[in-house]
Amino acid sequence: MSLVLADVWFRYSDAGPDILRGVNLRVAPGQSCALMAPSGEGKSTLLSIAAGMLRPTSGHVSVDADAKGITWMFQGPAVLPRRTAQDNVALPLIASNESREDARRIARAALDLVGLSGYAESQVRHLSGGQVQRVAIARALVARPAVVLADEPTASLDYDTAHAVSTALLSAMSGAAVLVATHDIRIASLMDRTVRLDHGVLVEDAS
Amino acid sequence: MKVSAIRTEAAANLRHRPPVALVGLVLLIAAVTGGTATWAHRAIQLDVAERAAGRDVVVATATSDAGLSMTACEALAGNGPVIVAGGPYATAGPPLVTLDHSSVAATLVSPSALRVWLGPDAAPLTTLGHDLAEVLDARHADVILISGDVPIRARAVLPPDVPLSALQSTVIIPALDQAPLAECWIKFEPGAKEATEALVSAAFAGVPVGIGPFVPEGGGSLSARQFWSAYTSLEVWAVAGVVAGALLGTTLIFRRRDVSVYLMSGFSRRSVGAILAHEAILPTVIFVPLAAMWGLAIAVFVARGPLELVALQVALAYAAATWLLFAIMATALSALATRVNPFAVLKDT
Repeated sequence: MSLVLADVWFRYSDAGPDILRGVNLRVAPGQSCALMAPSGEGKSTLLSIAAGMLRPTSGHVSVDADAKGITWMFQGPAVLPRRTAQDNVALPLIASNESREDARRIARAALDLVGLSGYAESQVRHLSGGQVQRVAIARALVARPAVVLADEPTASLDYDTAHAVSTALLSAMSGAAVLVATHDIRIASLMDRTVRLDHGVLVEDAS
Repeated sequence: MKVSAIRTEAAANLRHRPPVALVGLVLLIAAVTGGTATWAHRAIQLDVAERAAGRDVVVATATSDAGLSMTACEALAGNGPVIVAGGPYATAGPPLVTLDHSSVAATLVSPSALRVWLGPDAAPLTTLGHDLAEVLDARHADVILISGDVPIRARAVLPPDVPLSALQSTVIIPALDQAPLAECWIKFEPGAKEATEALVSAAFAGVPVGIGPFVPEGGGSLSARQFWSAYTSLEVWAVAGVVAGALLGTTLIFRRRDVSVYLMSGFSRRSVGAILAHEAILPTVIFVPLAAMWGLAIAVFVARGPLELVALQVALAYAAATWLLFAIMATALSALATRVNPFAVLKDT
């Protein structure tokens, strides 16, 4: 299932400047794409449009997945801090009416995959930043998303941790279309390809 | 999403969350229950005291030496709002001598006169005034022998709350005598003073008589009814319910992040709202009854004795109303709390 943006233009108000200007982007299933741009250039706007949370001024967005097929990852800890890692990972399964026992079993398996096998019963607020992001990855994993949109998910982590988290993300989501906004070229280099936003225009990185 | 899953999720969140709104609700319910029971108890006590003081009695006083017809007075009983009527004879009774040779006065009253003060079931027995019983140390009136021209046996003691000082230091002798009365006391149904006074006026038409309430109105303090009305007009249950709801609403502001995480994890807004509402309401099922019991215990302590059933019923009804309003607000505010943009919330934190 692909993520496709075709000739997408966007401005926040009629009198405002164009934030996105004729953006064309296709991220295929199993492909990872880094989205790079300086701060304020519209990375988050593009992700929001890709997720359907913002409507483009013109152009077309196609996500071959329903809303639940899209998973978000954020820079901050998008978790329930007072609940256990296992409970957090199980949330998408609970939402889809999986039995609690099955949800916990699957959640523990997902935590094993991201290297948190010993932390299933730990409250998330007691985990480090890198571990919390791994919890978020494990949660995304059990949701089996078709598309993963990540908004600077490793920006608050040191490089080693960011590298480990990114690797874990790409490994866990190997079948999904993954679009990661980042300002770190080293993280971007882990992706299959890199695109850059330059004054609202999306440019494929030749490197 | 299944209700059981929502309940389980809410319970899991509750285990790790400081119960700020719950504590607030418990304190408010205890205050509402205790306060209502206390004020209701006081209103009832005031009402009882006012009744005992003759609030529901009209007095017709003869303004000439001819006095009032005993038959006309007693015949008022059962007419309209009149419960019972009777009064003292215009002529004083004979002086009586007790066993220790002290002389005491006797007050002759019509057969139903004591019922005005002691209730409709009181028997027309020779009765000692309370003060006299104290002086004679006559706790058991039926063994006190009083001798005059004819020895008689006093069988009862007037309670101290009978407000007629003229009866306190005498021997009260009910008598079936057609002699005129000095006064006619008319006990009526609560709230029927005007109708009773009209009835009395008609009964003694053409007779020089003054008619008025036994207890003068406007004594400077609130009546029991005014006292209770002032309390109930505060609508404490509504105030407490709204305050508890507002407290919950404040705590929900800090749940925007949790709400966003749920939404991003695939929960519908309806499910998230249900989880929040369950979190707010579930613990109240246990703690609100305990809070009500706590409030009642405080009221019993303040009253230094048992509370009337009516006071308990009103207090519990107020507690239930407070809880119901809180539950309604909790449901509405929980639904409102899900109206967030999860992307904006999680992106900015």
